[in-house]
Amino acid sequence: MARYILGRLLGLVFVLLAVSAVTFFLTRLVPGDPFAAGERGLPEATQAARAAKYGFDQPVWRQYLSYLGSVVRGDFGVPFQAPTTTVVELIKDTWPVTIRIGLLTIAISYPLGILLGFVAAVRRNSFLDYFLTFGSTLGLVLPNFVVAIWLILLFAVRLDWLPTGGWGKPEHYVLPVLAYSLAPTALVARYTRTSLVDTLGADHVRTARAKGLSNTRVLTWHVGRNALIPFVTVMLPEIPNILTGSIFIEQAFRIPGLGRFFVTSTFTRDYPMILALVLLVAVVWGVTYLLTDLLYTLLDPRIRL
Amino acid sequence: MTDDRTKAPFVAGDARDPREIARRISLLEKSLGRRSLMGAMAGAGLVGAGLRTAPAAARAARQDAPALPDDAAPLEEQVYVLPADTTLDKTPDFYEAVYERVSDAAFDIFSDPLVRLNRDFEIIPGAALEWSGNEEGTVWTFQIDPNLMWNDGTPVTANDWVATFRYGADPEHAWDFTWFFQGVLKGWDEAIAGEIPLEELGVRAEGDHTLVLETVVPAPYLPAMLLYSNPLSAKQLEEVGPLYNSNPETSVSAGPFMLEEWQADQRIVYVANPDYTGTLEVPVQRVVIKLAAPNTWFTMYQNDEIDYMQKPAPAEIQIAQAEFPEQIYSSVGDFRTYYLFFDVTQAPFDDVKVRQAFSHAVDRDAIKTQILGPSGVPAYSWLAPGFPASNSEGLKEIQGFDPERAKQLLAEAGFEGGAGFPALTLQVRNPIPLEQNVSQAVAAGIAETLGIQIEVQNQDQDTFMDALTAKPTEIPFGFVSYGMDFLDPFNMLSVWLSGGRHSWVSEEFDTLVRDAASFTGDPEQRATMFQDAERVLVEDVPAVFIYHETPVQLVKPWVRGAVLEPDANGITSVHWPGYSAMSTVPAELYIGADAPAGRGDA
Amino acid sequence: MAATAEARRADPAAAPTLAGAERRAGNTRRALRRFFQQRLAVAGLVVTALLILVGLFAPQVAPTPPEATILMDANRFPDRQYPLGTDAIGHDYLSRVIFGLRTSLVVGFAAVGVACLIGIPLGLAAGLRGGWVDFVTLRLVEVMTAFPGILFAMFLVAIVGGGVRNIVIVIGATSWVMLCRLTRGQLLTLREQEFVQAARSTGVPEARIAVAHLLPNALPPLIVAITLAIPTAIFTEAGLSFLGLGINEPTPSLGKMVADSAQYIRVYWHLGLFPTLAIALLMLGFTFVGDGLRDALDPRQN
Repeated sequence: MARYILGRLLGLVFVLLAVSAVTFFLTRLVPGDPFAAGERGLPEATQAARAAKYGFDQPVWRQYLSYLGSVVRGDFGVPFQAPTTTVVELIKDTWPVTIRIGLLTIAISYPLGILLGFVAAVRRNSFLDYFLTFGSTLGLVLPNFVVAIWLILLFAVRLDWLPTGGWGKPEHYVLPVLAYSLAPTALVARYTRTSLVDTLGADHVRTARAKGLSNTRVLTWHVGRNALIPFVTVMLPEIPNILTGSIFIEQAFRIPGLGRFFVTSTFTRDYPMILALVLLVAVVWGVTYLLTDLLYTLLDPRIRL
Repeated sequence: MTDDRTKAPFVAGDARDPREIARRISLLEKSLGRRSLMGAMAGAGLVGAGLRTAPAAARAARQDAPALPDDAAPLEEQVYVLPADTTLDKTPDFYEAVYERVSDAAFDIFSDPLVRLNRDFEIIPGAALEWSGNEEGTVWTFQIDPNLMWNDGTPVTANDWVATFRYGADPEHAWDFTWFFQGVLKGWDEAIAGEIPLEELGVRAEGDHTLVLETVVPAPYLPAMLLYSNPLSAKQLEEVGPLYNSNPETSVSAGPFMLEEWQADQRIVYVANPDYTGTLEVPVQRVVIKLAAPNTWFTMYQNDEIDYMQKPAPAEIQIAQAEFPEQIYSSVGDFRTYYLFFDVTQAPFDDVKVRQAFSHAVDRDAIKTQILGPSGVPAYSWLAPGFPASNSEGLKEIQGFDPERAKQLLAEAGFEGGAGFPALTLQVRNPIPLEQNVSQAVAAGIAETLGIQIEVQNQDQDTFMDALTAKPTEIPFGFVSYGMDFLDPFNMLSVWLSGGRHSWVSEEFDTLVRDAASFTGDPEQRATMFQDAERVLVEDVPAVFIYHETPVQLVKPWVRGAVLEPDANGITSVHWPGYSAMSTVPAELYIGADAPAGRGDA
Repeated sequence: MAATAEARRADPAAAPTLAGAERRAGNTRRALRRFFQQRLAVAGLVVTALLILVGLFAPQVAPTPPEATILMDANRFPDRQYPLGTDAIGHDYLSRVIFGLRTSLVVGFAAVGVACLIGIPLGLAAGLRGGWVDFVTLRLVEVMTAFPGILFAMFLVAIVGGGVRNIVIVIGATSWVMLCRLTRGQLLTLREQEFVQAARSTGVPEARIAVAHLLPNALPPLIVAITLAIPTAIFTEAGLSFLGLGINEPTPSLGKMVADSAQYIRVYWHLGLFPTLAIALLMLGFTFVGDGLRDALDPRQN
């Protein structure tokens, strides 16, 4: 087991190297300068001076090596969009905000989704089931920027119950978490239903029923446990997505989180920030997958590592 | 919601009726054109002649509270809340980064620039009490107000400007606005290339309170340019570094406000500087800037979370027209002109007939009524009405809408009915909704009239500008805008000088513009020279002019003061550049007692 | 053996396929019957088919070409002349929705096609050859997964530019991972099953086993995954459009229309409502068909 985990972590290091290299070279391929050229473009002298200032006049591979060198020393550089801070500081300041919203979203949407999915599975092919299936699919198809606008219009502008956005008070959580929860709730509900339906029809559950075990016992123990595997498969990977935030939600509700930076860093060609974000996501994914695979062995003894 | 909302009517004579605005702008053109030219030409008048002197103003540190009008909120509730785009909060300082500094809301306010603009767009004394030029207009001397103090107790001296200009020219800084003083300040071009030491820049202090600037050409427009001269503190620049103003602990102010809070991407708070000794008497005690994406501003405004916003989207203007029309103001903004441009060095746009055909295929009036509304007026030339030397009426016919003529010209160029004309892509620079609608309508109109195909592609700011200014340019056909930097025709027209923003080359134009710029004689004659240059530009059609922007502002009723009274030209709006020490706006705006509390909170 | 966990992870809903080759013939008929027994699936199929027909015959169905504008008729609410109203520059919105649907379908199908072209061969190679091929593919998959999709897509659009063709390539190039995983996982599971072992022990060549035995059995979950990938691709295009990186005007797409309408919906409700409805229908249709297929193709339901 320890060896397995060690191997996986080594694999992760490889992935990080590859991802950083690909990103690094892609950023240099993308047209557009990381710094504003202004309304009239920069004089040649200034352009050259700027390239020298940031080392862009060096060959790309050398830039990459020196970047790797700094990263190993824990120095991820200074974000071009926020020169008074460092990449590490900026992530330290903004990621917790996104994580807090993300955890709340998970805490609300997962149990709710499981409950809805459970109800739909047990009442399979009933009107209630159709209603829930339809509703959850709708929850998946509404773009969250649309949902965010509706929520703001309804709760902030029309009803005036909540601020349109901002950060720092408890009421600032309500709308973003709501907007954010819709899709995961729908997704969890759908998968819960599907995997429950699958397991309900499985042989060992029929056997358990035939043996006269109580319905509750069957549902919770035999069905629940087996349904967990696909659930783990689909829902765990959603967690990195939720924890790294969304530009749409954060921009709409003015949340000073990390999610925006995925887009703003790309738009502003903020190389240090882009690289740090990509590495961060790679680590989060790597760890999530490792956890997923470890969970399998716990849930299904037939799977060996 | 019903149909009638789409055509919210203007009451006749309403100050915000587009036609009324157009009328006022033409009035503005007449008076401002003259007066402002005089302002910009102050140098010319000053050559050997008199001085511009500051009115006697409060000189002592503001120990006692400013007198507020009766309907004003108490001093501690003089809080002004504004939105700014999150992507623009790298620094508060012009000489650090022009295009990435806070510039939407309240800005350039930690020190007084040498000169500032008043409400009638005249150049008036700021930190410089008076200034004069030599006989040739190449040596400019500014007398700095000796009372000015940084709030760390250091006096403001001419040396602060010297340090600031040197920082701007420093190749290690690689400033994004180095073009501004190119070919103007002595030694600037060499300094930014690292060819001479910064000490040899033509900016020097003679004693503590005399600043001398030397120019390479006669530059009567130099005082107007020096709107952009909020100095950095030489001491902090040296001791803390150029970003000292992004942190309340190291920030130092000699301006009306000082930094209290700087939360990246969230909010910035300024408070009145109790040690300010400059000439602006500012009622507002606290400015809260909420950093937010512009598409969220309108709901914030509706919800009383901000007091002011600029450029609402077209649909938002309609809501405002239906629900609070009295809060809508059309400004003249920065006299910005939107235009289509061509790479005239490449087929098919190397043929002037093709370019002319395009210029006659745009129905600006329809765009005005259907899309622009109060946000702009049709443009047929470069200098917006009201801008010094503008000749909108005189040039109107050259690019006028005439679909038959357009078709005929295209046929003469060899593309009868559009046959054989290459499919085009119109590149558009990072459009806000209004610009997006206009660019699409323009493309659709030309495509339909001329029988050709035009795709419209949006590009982000940096990609677009890099491609546009690449030599040779990488954008054959694009839609973009330019707004003035300072109120002199030279500034706007210099955009079209050879080797500048576009690939168009005209020796005739270059000569006319450069001669006019350095002309120190009769202002009327100088204006005529610029007008001759503009005619060359409009006739050769390197660009099809579409509209002059008149940005819409939404202002809450509790924002009061002289800013919202008609100026000498009858225009009512918070004038460009806005809440800044570059302008008298901060002295002319206060918060009424009816303002809801808590707006400045998070 | 990590491979099994991999296979599991590849697709949760795809149950281990126990069916042997000899049982396949009747399976298709049974699967079809099971599919048509599900009301939602049939409804989904009808809706999807209708939408595809509208998209296919857009030039015949729509009142005007998508690029036609009458600026003086801009910003009209739905009325007799314009059943779905007009937009800010005077496009007939009904035509825009119809042609937008067409573009979205093209993007959805083509992008998934690109993803299949990359993902399935890679998955096949990895699953069949194992060894270093498998190793390299897995690492590639990991690298791709670790890459934030939106960032990658934005980069690619910035490099290759917008337009339908480029958007299709970009979305395809960022969404093949799931199909690759799934194919590989299926092969790994099937390879160890009795009927394959049997074929192998009787000396059937490995390549023939792959084509005759493995691929057909791996198909059902793939079909399901592909059906569900189409709406995802359409959705991704909407997201890119919202960031201003989508398809160029005057070509309409549902995603772009929804994204652009965000600033109008408070006044011109019709600009948001109709494309959102069309996207929702499209997604619901594909999703129900996908779900139905999965249930129908699941051999345990026999």
